[in-house]
Formats: sequence, C-alpha cells, structure tokens
Amino acid sequence: MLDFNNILSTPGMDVQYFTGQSTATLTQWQTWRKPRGVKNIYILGVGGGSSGAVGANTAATNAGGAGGGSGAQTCVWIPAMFVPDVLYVQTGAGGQQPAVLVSAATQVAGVPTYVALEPSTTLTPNMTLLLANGGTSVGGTLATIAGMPLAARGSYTFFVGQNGTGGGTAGSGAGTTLSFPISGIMVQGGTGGGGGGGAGVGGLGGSMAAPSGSPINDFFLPTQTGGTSASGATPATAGGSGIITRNFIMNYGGFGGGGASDTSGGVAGAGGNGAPGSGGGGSGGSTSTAGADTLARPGNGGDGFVIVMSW
Amino acid sequence: MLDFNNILATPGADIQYFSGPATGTVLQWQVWKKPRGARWIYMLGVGGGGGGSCGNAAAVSTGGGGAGGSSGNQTTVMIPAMFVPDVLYIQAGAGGAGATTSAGFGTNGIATYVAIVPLTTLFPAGTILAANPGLTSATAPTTSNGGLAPTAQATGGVAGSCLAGRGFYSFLAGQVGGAGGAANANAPTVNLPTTGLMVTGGSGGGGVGSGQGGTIGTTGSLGTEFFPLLQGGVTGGSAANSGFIARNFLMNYGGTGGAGGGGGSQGTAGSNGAPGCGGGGGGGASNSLPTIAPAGSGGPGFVYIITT
Repeated sequence: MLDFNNILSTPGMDVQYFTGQSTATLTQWQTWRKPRGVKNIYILGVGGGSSGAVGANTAATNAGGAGGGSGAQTCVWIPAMFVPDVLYVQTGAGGQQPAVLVSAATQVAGVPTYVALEPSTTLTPNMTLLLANGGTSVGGTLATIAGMPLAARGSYTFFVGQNGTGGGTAGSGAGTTLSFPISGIMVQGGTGGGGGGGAGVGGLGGSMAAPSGSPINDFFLPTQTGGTSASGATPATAGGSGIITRNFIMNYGGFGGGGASDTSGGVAGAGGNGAPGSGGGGSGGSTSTAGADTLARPGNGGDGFVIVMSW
Repeated sequence: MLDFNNILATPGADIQYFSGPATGTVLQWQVWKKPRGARWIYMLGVGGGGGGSCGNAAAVSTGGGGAGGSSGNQTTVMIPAMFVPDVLYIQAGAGGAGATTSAGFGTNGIATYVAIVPLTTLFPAGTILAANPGLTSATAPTTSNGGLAPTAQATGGVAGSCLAGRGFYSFLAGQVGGAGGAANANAPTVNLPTTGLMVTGGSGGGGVGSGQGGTIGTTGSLGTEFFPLLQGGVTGGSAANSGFIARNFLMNYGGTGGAGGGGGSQGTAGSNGAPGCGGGGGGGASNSLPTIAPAGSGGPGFVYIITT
C-alpha cells in the first residue's frame, strides 16, 4: 500500500490526479467518472504556467528574458448530487517556446484548465464546473463564478497566478528576485534570466527568496539562486527547474539562466522548467558578436493539473 | 465514554480541542498528529479574548465604569488532508488579564495559530489558520464617563494563513466589548453578534452609584434555551455573571461588567469571559476606598480540529 501522507489508498476516499496534456483550449479532454456512493466532491485546478521569455542576443541589446507567470488556482467543493456521473477534464499544458528561438521573444502562455460537463470545443460557462486560467506574460487571470456557474452549488475560491520576474538589464544586470507568494496560491512564477555582458561577466539568473521568516526544511527551501553568469572563459549555466515540496506545500517555478559574455563564447544559460502549474525561467541574455546562435532556451511552463477527491 | 453533544468519540470523526495556555505569540506550541486514514480536516480557531478595564475610583459618585474586552477573531478552514503534514503545531492564545487598578486597562489577548512548523516568528507561508486576539479598551473611564469600547481587531485574511488557500475558509472579526457606564448609569447591553461569530465581547461595568453592569444577550428575539440573557452586576444585588458556553457551542458568552459602587462602597468586579470572549469591565467606585474592584479576564483562545 502506498501510504502517502496518510491519505492515498484511504478507504472511502477516491483521489485522482490529472495533469496537462491539453495543448489547445477545449480540444483534448480526459474523463473522470464519479465513484459509486460518493457524497462530496472537491476539485482543485491550476492552469498551465507560461514559459520563460527568450533573452536578447544582439550586440546592442542583451537583456535577459523574463520569467513565466504561474497558472491561476481554483478550488471547488460541491455535493456529489449536483455533479453528473462523468466529468471532462482539460488540464492545460505549460507554455513552451518554439523549436527555433527568436531573440527577445516574450513568454508563451500556458493553456487554461477546465472541468466541464461535456467535452465541448466551445466554451460554455453553464457547462463549466471549474476554470483556472493559464499564465501569460503575467500570472493567470483570476477566474470568476461567471465563468463556472455550476460551482455555485457549492463553495469555491479563486487565486490569481503569480507573475514571473523581470530579466536582467543589458550589460550584466541580474534577473529580479521572486518573492515567495503569500496569497494562498500553491504555484509560483519563474525568475528572469541574467543580462548579457559585452565582455567579461554576465548577469546572474534571478533568485527565489525563501518565505519571510522561513525555516530551512523540507517544506520550504532556503533562498535559491538562478543560473550563474559567465565569468571570463567560464560559460553561463542554466537555471534549475522547479520542484514540488512535501504535502504540495509549494510548486516552485523555474529559475532564470545566467547571462553570457563574449569571452565565454557568448552562449547564455537556459531557463529552468517550472513545476506543475508554475512559470518557466527566462533565459539569459547574450551578444551576437560571437558569430553563432547564442540564444538559450527558456524554461517550459509547468503543466496545469487537476486533483479530484470524492468521498 | 464522554458522549458530549453526541459528537465526541463519534466513530469516523476525530475531534480534538486545544485551549489557550500560550501567553506569548508563537512561543508555546501544542502538537496535533494527523490520524491515519484522514480525508478532510476542519479547523476552527478563535484568538484569546481581551481583558476588561477597571472603573474609575474618582470623586465620590462620579466615577465611570470600565469597558469590557473584545472577543477574539474567529477563523475556520476546511482543507483536504493530503495538503496537511502529519504533524501540526498549535498555539491557542491566552486571554488577556483584567485590569486591577483604577481606570487601568486590561491586557490584550494572544493570537491563535495553526502552523506546520513551530517557529518563534510569524510565518504566514507556513500557517494554516490564524485568528487575531481581542483587544482591551484604550480609553479609560473618567471621573464622569465610562471607558470607551475597544477598537475592532482586523482579520489577517488568507495572506496571514496562506496554506488555507488549498481549501475553504472564513475570517470573522471579533466583537468589540461594551463601553462602561457613566456615573449612575448602566453600561449598555452587548447584543449577540450576527456576523457568524460564536464569541462575544465582554460588557462594561456600571458607573458609580446606581449603574449596573451591562447585560449580554438579545432580548426577546432568540430562544432562551439556546441564548439566555446574561445579567451584569447589580448595585447592592447580584454579582456579575461569568461567561459560559451555550448548548451545542452556539455561543460563548463574554464576562459581564460589575456594578458601580454605591455611596462609600467599592464597585463590584467584572467577570471572566468564556473561551475566546472578552472580560467584563469593573464597576466605577469612590476614591475614598483603598481598593478597586478588578475587571474580568478574557477567555483563552481555542482550536477545534475535526478530522474525517
């Protein structure tokens, strides 16, 4: 038996987890079936996080890319009698930059997450039980009950997604540090990449601050740094990817990559991928004077997800 | 078996009650352990009630009564057990002490918290439930007027208890205590709260002379079986009534205020509040007396955790 947090495989409680396969809105649905005899249903949904932005790599402009925004978060509790025996779940994919990167391209939005009565390709609020928007250049937009009126048979909460942070300015600026969210949301934005340096040293990828007054333990990480910047002949490094901490206390966003310098070959550090629902890290900035493609790939936004518990 | 209200020891529901010994903020923690097989967790927390203030022992026949203390704020959280660690730490804040000196203020209550780590600093990102305490009056009774009611205490909202965002929650501000009575005047009645709050403020003390302590309750509109009137102190008569817990936890009553002293006599003491409630204010008195009747203390904060 997997006795995870003392809850999974618990008699009388059905817990199902859906994660983001939906790369387009309202076209790819998964199915949830109501277990026999359930009385209550709880659904938590988070939209897909957006990718990080691409750092610039022109000689004149070499700022780091901004971090991606997290998806928005929505919770619904509802008596099972108001829910059909089958629900359709779209868990929005996180945003990803295209295969061929473009200098200074902005974030790619994550796809929204839905739970609906029918697998419709047209958004119909009266068929929607849960909506959680995906991250864009900012955090996912707050849902409202007008977009998911069926939830009004029960209780619900909405949280806007967290913005990613800005990339470092041209000329070795560091990516902006991300504050730990204290709104109640369980996902984060990504941090920005470091700015490129013409020669010598680039900027650091953005850090993530530990929560105010935080202990250092397995629930909360200490302040985490982004990718290191290029220094002399040492190239920039990639930002780390986000993780899920114990008991789903927080899904971390991706970290920004370090900024490049000419003397290290001009290649910037990549951004880290966001944990589910979180934003990706921005890639570092660089210059084009190295004569090669010096762009680095920003981190992907974390896929949206849905947890359905019924009992 | 303690079959209290037919709910404790109910098969399938684990009910634990924590009451407030914490006399300092985030310093004294109790431990809750998640029962095996838990699915949902409900928490209700109330901050410690504020202490009542004393009356004024001023010129003969003019001292006002002290104000009652405010109740603590009330917070509820309903959250899936999978988002809750196996151990939680609880600070149930103590109630504030009642004043003991002429025109003296009581003490504010202590806040109530449920957190995932027992830190000694406030840590909203690791907090599931927070309920601010009740305050004591900040305006003392004068030689002619009663002390003013305490100010309302703000709720922290989900920004003060971030982990509640995985579930559902409500935040209710506490009820302010009643003002003290002016000389020869009764302290006003403290009506039962209609916000959803399950605790009341304390009532004020009566002014010197014939002033009676404030009543707590709502006359005529509610069944007395569930919501009786709680009488304040009566000059030359009964003492102030202490707060109590009404049936089925429908309402915790604050302490009522004491009566004002008659000519040459000391006012009577304010009474203590039930858990989470404010203490009653002391009655006004004469300055010819060596002592003054103390005010009541606020009730200790508390936390219920019900796991199913």
